[in-house]
Amino acid sequence: MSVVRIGILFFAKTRELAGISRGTFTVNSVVIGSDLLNQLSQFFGLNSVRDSLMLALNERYINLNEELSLCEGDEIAIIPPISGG
Amino acid sequence: MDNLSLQKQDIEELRSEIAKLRAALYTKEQQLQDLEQLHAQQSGNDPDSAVVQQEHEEKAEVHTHLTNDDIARFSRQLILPGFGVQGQLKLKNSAVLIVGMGGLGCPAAQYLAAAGCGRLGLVDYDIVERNNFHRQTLHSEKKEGMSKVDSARIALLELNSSCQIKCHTRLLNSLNAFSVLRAYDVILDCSDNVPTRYLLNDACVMLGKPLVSGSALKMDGQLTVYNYGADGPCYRCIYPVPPPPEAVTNCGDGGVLGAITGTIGALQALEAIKVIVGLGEVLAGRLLIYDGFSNLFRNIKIRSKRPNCHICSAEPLIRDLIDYELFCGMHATDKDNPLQLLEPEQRLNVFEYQELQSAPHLLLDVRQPAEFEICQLPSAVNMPLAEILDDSYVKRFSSQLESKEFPIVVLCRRGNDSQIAVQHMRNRYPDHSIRDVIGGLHAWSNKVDNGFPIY
Repeated sequence: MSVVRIGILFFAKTRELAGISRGTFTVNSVVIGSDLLNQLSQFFGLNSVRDSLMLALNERYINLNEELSLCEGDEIAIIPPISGG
Repeated sequence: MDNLSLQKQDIEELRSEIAKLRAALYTKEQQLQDLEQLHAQQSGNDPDSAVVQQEHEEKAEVHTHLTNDDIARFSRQLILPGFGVQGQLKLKNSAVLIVGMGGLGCPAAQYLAAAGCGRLGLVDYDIVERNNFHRQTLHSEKKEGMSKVDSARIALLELNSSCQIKCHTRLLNSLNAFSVLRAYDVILDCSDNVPTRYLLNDACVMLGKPLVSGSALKMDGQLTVYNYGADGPCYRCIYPVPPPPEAVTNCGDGGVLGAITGTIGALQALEAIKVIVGLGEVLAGRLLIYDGFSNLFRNIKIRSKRPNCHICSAEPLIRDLIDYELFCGMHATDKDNPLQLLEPEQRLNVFEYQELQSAPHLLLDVRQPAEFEICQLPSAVNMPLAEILDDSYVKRFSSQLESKEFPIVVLCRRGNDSQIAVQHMRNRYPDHSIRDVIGGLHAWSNKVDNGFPIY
């Protein structure tokens, strides 16, 4: 199985927790959504909000049960809900 | 007292008197409106049927042509391709409910009233406070203390006196949500808390109404339209489980820029207009994410309806509104919920700390540096909560921590974070004199030093 480098975009609370607004991450090219979420939460310190995060791959929502085929340079957005107003 | 200060006093008194009179006037106008409505209902054919009455009212109000004033007033949008006279008439005959008259609700209501929306309903239980003005642009200095819906109504009627505005001065809950929402075509979620977001979602699904949902915090915003179109998901399809309370930050704690809420609120008005008029491509099944730091907008294609959604699937598990505060483990307001983590002997009230001030002690202020910069007590050392929790304080204050008797006092804005800090420190130093200040700097300002700024 090959390994790919993907870009990560952080929004709202995850930007604060990770301390960056964009980063890169190296991961197996074939990965289950929830597994990717676990790895990202672990690596970037997002565990406290892990269960309410939404992931999007190239601006498309990821179903956490689905198996993803990632390519070099793909972009994952990590989106926590915001409730303020 | 000299002449000038007497004059100043007179001016202040008159101002306050006028504000009170104005508030009383609008309360009476609201009472009159409510009574008139009740009267009209009860003099109808079927006094028990609000539905019949509602239909009757709606029939009586259908506009089929634009007045000369409408044409002059709305000329710049009338000439827009795809909008036109039919669009304007649809707006004129529409009813939009805006839940929350804060940073999102104010700009949303402003653009909807200005655009000629015929009927607006405003929901908010809260009153206007000084810390609202920087983002809640319908409320102005003279209206401090007035209910937000009354304040917004005054401002909106100045903008467009022909807009019918109904004030719902209440906290929306499972008991009143249906009766409030039913009369409206589109609902705007401009609220500031998670329980209200689930409540509005479920009520909108059950009533079959589109929900234009906006939210904002710090420098970020989000926007989407739920429950719209055949495949359009609802809030629960996207967020089946509410976030844990500790992961939720409100604007009072996290801060927010007015231009951020203004951006999202204006976009909510735009989506509402598109839904009503049938213009363009409604933002359903897509989530707009706004990052104000880099001024970046992103459109994320979100999932379609969740087949096993508890509320919007073909066989919903939830068939009636539930207790949303219980479901989320949070209150349906953004007001602070005081924590109770410490034993009484682990805490000082502000007067006890005042006595201790002259004796040797260490005062740790655990707020963020940006907050510490606003105001601080003499001799306070800024040590943000995160640096307590990651134990950086152990090395930095090693000399003060040598003695168990040396008093260490922990302080924050309202007395919640200080308890978390003391609890953490006491795990390592169970027999040290580590205590927090009950009610934090807010209590200090209220009880000891009125001149100390509150934010």
